[in-house]
Amino acid sequence: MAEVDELRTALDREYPSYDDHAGDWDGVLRLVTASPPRRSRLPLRLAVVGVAVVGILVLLVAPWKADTGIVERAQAAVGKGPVFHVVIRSQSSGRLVELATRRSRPVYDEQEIWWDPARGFHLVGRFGARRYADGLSRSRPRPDVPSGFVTGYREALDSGQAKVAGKDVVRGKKVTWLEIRTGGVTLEVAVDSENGDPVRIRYTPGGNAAVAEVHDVLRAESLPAGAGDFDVQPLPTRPLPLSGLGGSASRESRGVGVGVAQKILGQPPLWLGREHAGFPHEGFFRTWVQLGGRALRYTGVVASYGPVAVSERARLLPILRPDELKVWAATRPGFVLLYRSRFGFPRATAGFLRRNGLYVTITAAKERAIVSAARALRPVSAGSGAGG
Amino acid sequence: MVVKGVSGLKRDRLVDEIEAVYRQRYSSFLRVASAIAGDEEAGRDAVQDGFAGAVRGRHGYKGRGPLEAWIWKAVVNAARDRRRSASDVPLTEEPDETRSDEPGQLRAAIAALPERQRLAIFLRYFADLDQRSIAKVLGIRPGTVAATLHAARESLRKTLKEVEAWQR
Repeated sequence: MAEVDELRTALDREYPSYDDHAGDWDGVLRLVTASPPRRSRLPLRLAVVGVAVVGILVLLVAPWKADTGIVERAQAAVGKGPVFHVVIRSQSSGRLVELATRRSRPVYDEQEIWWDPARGFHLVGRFGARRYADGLSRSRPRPDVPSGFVTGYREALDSGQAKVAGKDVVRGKKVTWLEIRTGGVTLEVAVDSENGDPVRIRYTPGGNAAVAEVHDVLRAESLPAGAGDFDVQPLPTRPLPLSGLGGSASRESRGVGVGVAQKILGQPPLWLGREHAGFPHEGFFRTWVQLGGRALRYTGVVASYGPVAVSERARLLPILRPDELKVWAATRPGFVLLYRSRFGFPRATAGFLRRNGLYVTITAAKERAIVSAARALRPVSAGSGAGG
Repeated sequence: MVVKGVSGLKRDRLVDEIEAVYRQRYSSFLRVASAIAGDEEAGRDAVQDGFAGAVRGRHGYKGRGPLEAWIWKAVVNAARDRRRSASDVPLTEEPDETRSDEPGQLRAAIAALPERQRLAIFLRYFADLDQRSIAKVLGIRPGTVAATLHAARESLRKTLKEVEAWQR
C-alpha cells in the first residue's frame, strides 16, 4: 500500500491538479449547438452515405463546386464587425526549466492583434505569456504573416479571392485550405470544414517550404465598432534601437583575468567553478562588438569549459537578432529558458537566464548539459582560484 | 419535459445529468485529459469536446453502467485525438536527453507505458475510478483492468526507485 501511495504522491508531484478550475459549461453548449445534434446512429449513417453519394456525383459532374459553402461558413465564422481580433500561436516554442526541480513547461510565442481600419493595427507579442512587443500602426501594415491574414482575410472571403486549395487534417480537425492572394502575397488559411473557423495560417515566401511561416489561429472574431484594445503599454524589457550601421560581435581568443571580466560586467563574473562536468575552467574571454567601423567595445565575457560556454553581458546590444528580445522577455528568476530560434540565433538550442542583472546565454552539446550548467552557475568569489 | 435553453439546445433530463457530472468532476476530467493530451490547453479543449460529444450523442447512452463512465469514454477519446493531432506541432513534451535522469523521468516512464496501462493509471489515480468504471471506459473486462494496473505499477515502481536515488 505504501508503494501505491508513493506512486500517487509522485504522480501528484509530476502532474498538476486543477482543483480551482470550474470549467465552462456554457462553452460546451455552444459547441453542441455549433453543429446539429445526433439523434440516432441510423439516420446519421444514412445521411453520411447519402452525402457521400451526392458528393461523388458532384465531384464527377462539377468538381469546381465540390466545396461550395466553405467560404460562406468561413465568412460566418469570423463575422463582419468593423474590428477584427485575432490571436495566433507561432510554432516556435521553448521550454522553461525550473532550476530547483528541473521540471519544465512549454512556452509559446503568441501574437494578439486588433485591426480596425479607422484606428489602426495593434499587435501585442507574448512569449511565455510575457510581452515582448507592443505596437500600434495607424496605416495598413505589409500583407505578410500575420498582418496579411488580419487585414486581408475577410476582404478576400468577401471578394471571392479566397480559393479552395485542398483538404487536410490540422490539430485533429478536418480542414479546407483556402488560398488567398492579398497585396501580392499568397497566404493559405486552413478553415474547419465543419464550422468555418480559421485553424492555421501558412505563408511560404517564394514557394520555399523550408522558410514557411506557420501559425495556429487560437481566436479570430469580429468585434463591434469601438471595441478592442488599441492602447500601447510600455514593455517590461525595452527594445533597443536597432543599429542601422551594421556591425559585428565576436569573442577574443586570449583569456583575461577576473579583474578584467569584472570591469567589463561591472560586477564579479559568473562561472561554474574551477571545473565543470570534467572540464577545467579555461578562462574568461572578452566578447566585443564593432558598429559601423566605430571603435571596438568590449561588451561581455565568456566563461569556457570545453563544450560548455557561459556568455554573460550586463546590457543588451543594439545588434539584436530576431527573437532575442522575446527570449529575454520570457526569462524569469529560478528558471532557464531552453530555446532554438528558427533564425539561427543561436545555431542550436541554448539556455537563457537572468542572474544578478546579467544576461546569460549557455551553450552546450546537449540540453541536459545546459540545465546542469545553469544550476551550477555562481559568481566568482575571492579566493575561488579563478585567477587574475 | 423538454426545455429549450438559452443556447438553443433542447434540454432534457440527461443533459442536466451530464451537466451535473461536468460541474462536480470538472477538475478530474481536466487533469486526466491534460495528462493524456500532453498539456493543459489541449486537455481543456478535450474536456469541452468530450462533453459536447456526450451531449450530442446522449441518446446513445443506454443506461448500461454509470453515466459518468460513459462520459469518461468520450473525454478520453477526445484527449487521445488531441494528442494525435498535436504530433505535427513541435510541442515540448517529447522525451529528450534533458529528462533522462531527472525527476521528470516519471512522466517519461508513463509516456513509455503501453497506452492501455497509461490510461488506466490516469483514470485510477487522477479520476479515482473503480476497476469496473475503468473497464467501461477502456472497453475491457474488469479483470483485465487489475492486471493492467499491476503491470503499470510494476513498471513505474522501478522508475520511482531510480528517481528517489537520484534525488538523494
